[in-house]
Amino acid sequence: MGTTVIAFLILYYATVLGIGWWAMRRGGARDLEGYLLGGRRVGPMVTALTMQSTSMSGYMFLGAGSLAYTQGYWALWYAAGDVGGAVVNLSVIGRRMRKLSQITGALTAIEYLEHRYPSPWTRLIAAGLAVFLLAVYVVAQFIAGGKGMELITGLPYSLALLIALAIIIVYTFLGGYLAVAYTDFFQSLVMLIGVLWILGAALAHFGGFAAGNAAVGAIDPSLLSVWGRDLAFEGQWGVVVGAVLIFSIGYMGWPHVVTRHMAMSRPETSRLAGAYATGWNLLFVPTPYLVGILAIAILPQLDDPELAIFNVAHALLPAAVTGLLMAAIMAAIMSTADSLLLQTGSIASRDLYQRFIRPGATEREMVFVSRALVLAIGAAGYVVAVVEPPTVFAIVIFATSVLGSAFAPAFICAVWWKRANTPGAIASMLTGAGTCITWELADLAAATTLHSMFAGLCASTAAIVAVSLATRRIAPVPPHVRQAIDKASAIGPVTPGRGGSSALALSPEAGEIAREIDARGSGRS
Amino acid sequence: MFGLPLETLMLLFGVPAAWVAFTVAFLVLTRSWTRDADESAED
Repeated sequence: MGTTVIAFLILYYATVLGIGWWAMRRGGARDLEGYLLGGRRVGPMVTALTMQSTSMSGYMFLGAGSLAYTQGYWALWYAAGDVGGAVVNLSVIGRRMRKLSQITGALTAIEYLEHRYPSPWTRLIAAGLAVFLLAVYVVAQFIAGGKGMELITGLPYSLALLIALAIIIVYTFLGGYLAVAYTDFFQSLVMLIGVLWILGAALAHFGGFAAGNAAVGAIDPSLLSVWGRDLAFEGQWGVVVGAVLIFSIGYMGWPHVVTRHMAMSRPETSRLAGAYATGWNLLFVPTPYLVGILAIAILPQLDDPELAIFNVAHALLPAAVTGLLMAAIMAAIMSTADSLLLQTGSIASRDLYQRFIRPGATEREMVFVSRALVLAIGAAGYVVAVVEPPTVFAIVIFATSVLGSAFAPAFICAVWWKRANTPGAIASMLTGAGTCITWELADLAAATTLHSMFAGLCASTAAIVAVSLATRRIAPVPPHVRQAIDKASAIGPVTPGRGGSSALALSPEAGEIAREIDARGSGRS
Repeated sequence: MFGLPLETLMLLFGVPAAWVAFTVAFLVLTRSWTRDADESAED
């Protein structure tokens, strides 16, 4: 199938790069706010689909298919939360985070946390956690990309991974949130068409959904239950709740996803974005799981379950269509990887390097540092992915569980609970991350029948409440922060933050950069 | 239906239906958010 499939892939890459270039020409990188947040002028449809294509990574084509292939309909517990994850995220924090970030002049999700919970420690701890976890997460995308390219091109895994990584990094270097958002929008449509096409082919193979289920049930009837192969998870509601929470509430703790709130054109954009996202999710989210389940009967002897969806496409579709599907799979991987790399580079350069090491760094230096970090993270990820590649499912579940546990209560309480203070937020981040990592490394889920996400989220929520209340007298929430929260929750327009007095008071470095950019712009003109 | 146990059917169709209801309720209950409109341009 080589030539046709590769032709499709080249066409796909060219289209993505073209969209990215077009978006940049529209002024996405005109100033710092434009570069990091697309000038806060992204509409509901693009917001919804960039959020979803960023959230739905290579996991959906490898991890989800693998889980469904090995555990049957049990895997749908993960889809159950995922279908509503976007609308929960947008309805709970979307509008208020958009307003509060603008009032305080925050340009990154971590900077936003420092403005809401004022302390350098907030930023240091949040940025350290985010950079580590996002870097781990991006390794999963590299492995997924390498495996996909290996299957498509027939090249050895290490070389295929290198090519996939090079394409992702070059694409990321195009830079700019607006470019990423519009390419994500295109990629989400390609992903949707691709995955529905595979499902259609699988259903046609059996002659219908019921016939497909009958074939799977003939192999092992327990695969049709919601309790996994041999009913291994029967009655383990702690694991079920965790599986649902990861991709429903968990999204509210992912820095690369909540940044989408800050970039919305208006606070009310979250309403329509939520509706569009739910519509897209209904079609997309369950589909890879269903293909993985049907693959049990189509290809019962697979060596690598993570390639279940790839192999179903191989087995059932003509080369011309397979090319489109492979483009869809690469779209899922790339749309997440570019956002992760950009976010990791932004946080490492702005929230760590500029905030703590070189406060006077110029914009040019910042861009250089950001790109150098992207390259370093890419190189480290390549080594991990080649030397000892863990499963995509394991990495994604680990990174997303810890991110959600560490950050979700801090982001939610930021706009919903005025008494949440700095010690509470820091305790919440450390407790959530520590609990979740311990749970994963010690495999406590098996011993306790509680999912690591569930345990981590309970611990971080308890920490923010208990510590905030215990320290309310020695570390009260500053009046200007309480005022900003009141403004964010009230109905009505907000005053643009950057350059405003409150923004500069809360974010002196943002003001510095803004003034420098303005001065450069004046100089050029 | 479709050769699946009732619990599996609920997970496959019932949960997404609940999310649709949640989304509709969200749209209805947040109509006042349109008064948040500010000066921003939209792409």
